[in-house]
Amino acid sequence: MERDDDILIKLSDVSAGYEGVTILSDVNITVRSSSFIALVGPNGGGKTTLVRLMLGQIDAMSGELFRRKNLRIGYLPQINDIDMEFPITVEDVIFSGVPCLFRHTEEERRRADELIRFAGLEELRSRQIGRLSGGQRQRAFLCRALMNNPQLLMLDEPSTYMDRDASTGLYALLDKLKNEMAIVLVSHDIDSTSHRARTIYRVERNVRLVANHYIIK
Amino acid sequence: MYEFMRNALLGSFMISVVAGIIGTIIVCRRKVFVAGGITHASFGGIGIAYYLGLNPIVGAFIFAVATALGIDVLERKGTIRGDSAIAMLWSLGMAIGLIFMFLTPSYASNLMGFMFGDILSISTIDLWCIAVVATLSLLLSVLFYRPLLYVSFSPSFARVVGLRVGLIETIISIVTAIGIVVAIKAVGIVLVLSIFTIPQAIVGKWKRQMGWMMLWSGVIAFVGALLGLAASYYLDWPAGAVITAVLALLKLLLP
Repeated sequence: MERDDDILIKLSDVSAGYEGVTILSDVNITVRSSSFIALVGPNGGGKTTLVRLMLGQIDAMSGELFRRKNLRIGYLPQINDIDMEFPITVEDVIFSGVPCLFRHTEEERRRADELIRFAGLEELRSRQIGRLSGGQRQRAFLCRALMNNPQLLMLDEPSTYMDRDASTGLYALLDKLKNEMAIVLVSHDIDSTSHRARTIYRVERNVRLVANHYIIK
Repeated sequence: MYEFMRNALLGSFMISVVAGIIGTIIVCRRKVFVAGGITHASFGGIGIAYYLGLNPIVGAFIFAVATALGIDVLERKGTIRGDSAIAMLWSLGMAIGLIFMFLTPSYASNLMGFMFGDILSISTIDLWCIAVVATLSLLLSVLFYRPLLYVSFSPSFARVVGLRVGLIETIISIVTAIGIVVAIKAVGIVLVLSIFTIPQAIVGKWKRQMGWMMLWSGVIAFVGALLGLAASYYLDWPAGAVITAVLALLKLLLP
């Protein structure tokens, strides 16, 4: 039986868009603490809009959007949103996953160390972010997304521009995380995600369930 | 030592501090064109202040800050393309300045000083202004280095994380505007961008942290300023132009 106390985000008949142009309509989707959801679909179909709705970057035009109070979301944005020439080290990119006014706390430093080990980036922590390979870079941004110890991890096209080995490395890390937090993964490519996600939705103006491998233990 | 030379040296040093810090923020955030707009628009304030008989630096401050905030607002509203908004305020400020300069008797002699700078005529009041701005930018960038770095690197992600990006960006814009204005006295409107961008281009290749880029850009800006001052003193060449040429030459010579 499905319980309600593990719901992190729930969209009921939600429509969304920009400047009056509707991109998504009648969206119904629920993210639970055990979810591993893949969002697939064509470019322009509204995947990123759905992500921005869930993140709270945009508001719904109609419908109801529930988000659990104080929900901690870890977010891995699309790679082309990032300035690779910026003078910042891998370590500082990871630290930027938590807000900071003056200095990072001892606990945050320990968390960063732990994540750097988890992602196998020990040797690269002082490198400028642009001097990493595609796979190493995504692992660094995954660490940044994990800094706030999220209950929900959202990844927007994480394997773009990555070769096969690199994306396998990233997905291996996700396999370790999937039992600790909910994951929402955006991907244009259904093959590499389909056997990992428990639930697959196709996003094209509305959201349609494609497959559900949800196993109730 | 002559007092004017001592003032010029002190002024150059403090302007280099400002240029190192604020120039790095401008370059890292890819806001060089915005900085160009702020610089040129401040001429409007200089013109009006001259006409009214006020200290021109006050007019420049007001116009620079208003332009910086105006560009932010226009970009956010999205009714005009960002670069077009900058171009409009850039030339509008210049136009206002020119009209008021023209209405003021004996404008021509002052015009050159503001266009191309005159570091040897820097006054004690100017020095105090520069000192305040240099201290302010140093304090802010050291104390609040972390939020500054994160917002500059990725404002959209910083917003997701919960930083007050709008507020931080507004503070950056204001400090940038007043930093540019105090440097105008030394190198002039036309050349000021050189000390805010060429040192960063020189050190950018081998600096992987924004803080180090700030420090070493400041050092390089000061080297350029010293050579410019020397040329200006011994050869009677215009200091601002020599500073710009020296910096560009350094960029070409260094790997």
